[in-house]
Amino acid sequence: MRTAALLVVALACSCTIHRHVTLLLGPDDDTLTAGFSCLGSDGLPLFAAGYDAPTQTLSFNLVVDLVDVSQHVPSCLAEDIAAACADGECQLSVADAPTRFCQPVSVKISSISSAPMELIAALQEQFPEVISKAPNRPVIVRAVATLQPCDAGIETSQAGAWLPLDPSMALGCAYSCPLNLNDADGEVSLGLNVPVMPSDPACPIAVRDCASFPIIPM
Amino acid sequence: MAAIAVKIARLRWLPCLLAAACTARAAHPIPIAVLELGDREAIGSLHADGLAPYEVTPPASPPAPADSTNDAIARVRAAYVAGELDACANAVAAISVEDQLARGDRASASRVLELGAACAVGARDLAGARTFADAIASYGLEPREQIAPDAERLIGQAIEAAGRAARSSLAIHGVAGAHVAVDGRPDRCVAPCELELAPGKHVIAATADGFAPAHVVVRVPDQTVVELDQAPASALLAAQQWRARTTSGASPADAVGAALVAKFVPDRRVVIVRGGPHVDGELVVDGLRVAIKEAPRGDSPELLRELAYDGGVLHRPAVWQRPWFWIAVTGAVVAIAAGIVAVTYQPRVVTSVGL
Repeated sequence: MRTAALLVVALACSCTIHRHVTLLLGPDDDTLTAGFSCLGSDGLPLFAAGYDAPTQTLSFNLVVDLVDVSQHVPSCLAEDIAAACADGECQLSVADAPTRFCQPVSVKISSISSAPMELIAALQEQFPEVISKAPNRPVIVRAVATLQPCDAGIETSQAGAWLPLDPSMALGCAYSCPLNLNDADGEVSLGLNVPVMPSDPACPIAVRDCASFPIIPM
Repeated sequence: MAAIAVKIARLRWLPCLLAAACTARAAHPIPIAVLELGDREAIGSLHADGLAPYEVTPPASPPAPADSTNDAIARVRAAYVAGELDACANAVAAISVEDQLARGDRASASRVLELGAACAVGARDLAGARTFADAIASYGLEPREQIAPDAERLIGQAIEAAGRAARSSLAIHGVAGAHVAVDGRPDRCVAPCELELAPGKHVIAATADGFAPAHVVVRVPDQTVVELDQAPASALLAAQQWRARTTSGASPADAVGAALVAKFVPDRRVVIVRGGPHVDGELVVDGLRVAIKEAPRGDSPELLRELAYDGGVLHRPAVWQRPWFWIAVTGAVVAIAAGIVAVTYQPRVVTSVGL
């Protein structure tokens, strides 16, 4: 009888499906989204603020958040997302990620032209897993490259949600459409849902708006 | 979930409780006598829930008494040959010819009567000799002794006269179905019946299963009606009759067999089980067969239960009191539950996210 009980338990355990979702910081595996390649007003990439020329090293902190969109699941349109989250229901959920993912990134950049590829390769190598167990409900995945340190300021939660990031320190930002990660076995692209080119003056603004979530600038 | 499974696994007493609750049982086992026939190995164990079967055997027949008829006849003949006619007459008088005829021993009866006639002739007792000769004639016996010619002639005259005499009717009453023998000739008719007989003495005997044999001596045509009063058979006699019937191939529990069984088995409930290629069972209650069943070899317990149910000895349990009902219900519930689980089950999904 004990063996039968253990068999039932073993069967129940064996009925767990393990999936993995890979976040793409752009439309494909080789291209960085505009959110991570914006040019600032000085004509230099926003990432230049974290670049150390003597060592040719790009340093920043990567923060990955899950935004709980609550009951009203918006479409991918920024307008929809802004409208759905205007009532304050959208949260940087603590429940989904009890420890906020914030890790320092240091990437050797050999040349400006190869910077995007080297950044993508470095991130893929360093962070094969940023979330171990995704929630079983629709969320927006947001990745932010920031100069804001991974300290108590970032790790502090308030009313069940992480504190918003400082948009002025953001070097790049991208987010996904609302989706249930359990249903998305494969790759999920992050990006900016505004038609901007990296050289567009609106690009840094869009990055700051993205990083300031859930505070929606109107 | 694991904790629940372990708790269920610990409930080892649950199946026992269910089985006990679902099986109908009599408050006290009902005693029931069992007569076993045929292949005992085919019958096997007789244990059955709610019943207390115990085996009974028909009482054994006592050894047959030594037949002294031939000795008695030998003494008569010796006295006759020696010319001791008084001793001869006394020896003849000591023998009951009627009893011999009632038993069907016509040869012995004939010899006794012939020697009696011869002795009477030798003693110049012609009236007595004629009485013996008339008896031989009316009984229709065939002379077979070597006796004096005078005696032979007298007997021959008596037989000739009886052959010429008109027959007379005799109505015979008694136990319905009894087999009637006349003057030692078996199965002359089945009672009640009527026979045409030669004038003179006749021995009317009747035998019937369940009754003791009886006979009377009548004189035709003085008597036209005879009543044979057969006493009920004793347990010993009933057992002998039942054994004789079953040996001859008759059903052990037909109407007559069941009545016989009731006479020699003290219990009012008797199961007769016959082992063979199958096991046949018949239940007799108060002398009547109330149930008959057949079962595979070795399945006597089930046979006994079914006979007891059919015969009203046990109350057949309601559907919900039978183990197979709960087995079926449990199976159906498990099948339905498994179907629901199979249709609705969604395995747990654990998704990891990386760059």
